[in-house]
Amino acid sequence: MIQHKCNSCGHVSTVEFFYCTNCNGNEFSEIETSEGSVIMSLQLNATAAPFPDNYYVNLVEKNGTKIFCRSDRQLEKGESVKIDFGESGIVCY
Amino acid sequence: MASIISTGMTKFGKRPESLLRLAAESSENIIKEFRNDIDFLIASNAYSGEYNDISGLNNLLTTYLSLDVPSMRVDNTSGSGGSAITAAAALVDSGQAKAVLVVGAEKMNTRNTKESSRIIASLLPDPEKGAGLTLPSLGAFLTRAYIEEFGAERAAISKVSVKNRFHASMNPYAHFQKPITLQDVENSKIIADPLHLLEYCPISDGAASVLVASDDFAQSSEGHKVHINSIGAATNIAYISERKTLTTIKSVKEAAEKAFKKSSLNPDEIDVVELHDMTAILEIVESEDIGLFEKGEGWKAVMKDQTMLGGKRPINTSGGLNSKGHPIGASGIAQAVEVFHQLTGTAGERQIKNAKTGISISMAGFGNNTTAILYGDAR
Repeated sequence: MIQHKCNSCGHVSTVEFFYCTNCNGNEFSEIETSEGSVIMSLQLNATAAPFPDNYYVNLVEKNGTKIFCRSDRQLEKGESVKIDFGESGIVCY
Repeated sequence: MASIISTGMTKFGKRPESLLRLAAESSENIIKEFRNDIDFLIASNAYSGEYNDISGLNNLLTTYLSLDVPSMRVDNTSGSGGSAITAAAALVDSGQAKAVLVVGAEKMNTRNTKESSRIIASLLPDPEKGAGLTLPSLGAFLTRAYIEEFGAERAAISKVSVKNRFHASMNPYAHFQKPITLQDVENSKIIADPLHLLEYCPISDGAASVLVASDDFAQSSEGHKVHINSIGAATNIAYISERKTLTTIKSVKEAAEKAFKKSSLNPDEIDVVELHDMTAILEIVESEDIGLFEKGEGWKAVMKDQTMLGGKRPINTSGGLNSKGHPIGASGIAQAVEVFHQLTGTAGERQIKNAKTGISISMAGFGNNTTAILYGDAR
């Protein structure tokens, strides 16, 4: 998992921005991380068309930054997970 | 600032008419009285391409209405209505127009629920959309976060829906016409845990129109008029995961603060409140963010029925998006229609006594940006 660290203020974000959302800096370094902690998890039924009827969306925290990811099983709060940025979107397991 | 001098709307719900027909129906009485005065048209609409295979709705609409005036379409997703009124007020304030017809319209029942979820989710950034995030799931996250942070009773969120259905039962233009009970909400299916179906707005067709006029023209015209006191607008980062908190909607808070700062009003002086309750918890959070209640206290006001008609701080007397319905581009305009009726004493059985001032919160996405409009003047 690649995260983006602002060279000016050190703010880390999981998604890539053109300007840092914290200080407007525009130079970043890539940092590689592997696992995160699930801080929230919920079940969705019959939602967006490209996805199966039942799946879970999780808010995962890593290095003080958060990211949403999809999973096909219910994860526990605090559980350590791996995140993949695949063609079908961001998944965690 | 400008004034609203006439309004109209269709009943919201599943409608057989075309998008253009709905738009025309909502503006019929305005055009009948002011055809020769209207010198600009703004179409408030977000998804005519996706739902109706229409682009340039404003151009088709001027033709359909036989109005030979310049026009534009304003798309700001769910916040289109507030933005369209902002544009109209700017046009008349700058002298570029005298009377702007603002028509909010959306016809969404051309697609099924799954397709609609996907279309609406297109407002989310790609990584969050790709993670399976939808607007109902954001409502669920916020519901959980609010309960966790403030120890709110779960029933308070459901009670927002019960209260708004009650209000809608007195609004002939509302999508839903019958009151519901707390048990009805709790028995409705979970669409995103812990969010129940009845805690989320329906997919609605409908249109609403207002005529925004310069103060000079408003003064010279007879009939009801409501002064637009001030407008505040603010933005928020579109990535929900990058926000510092879920339980305060930054754009709502800042837009309201800006609007109040420009006016002589304060939150305690507002009689009519129309909030963007796409999902029930948003009504509670927004009521705090605009200063009606302290942070974490809004749910208690709901439990005490203070936000119900007849209570200390009635909210969403129209039924709100939750029960009046949420045809995206029409919603912000319909809020202005409700405030107009309340401030002119024409709201029928849902009339708030001696209402003189109002606020509407028109929100794009999940607070991506917000327009707060204050109506009426200090006593």
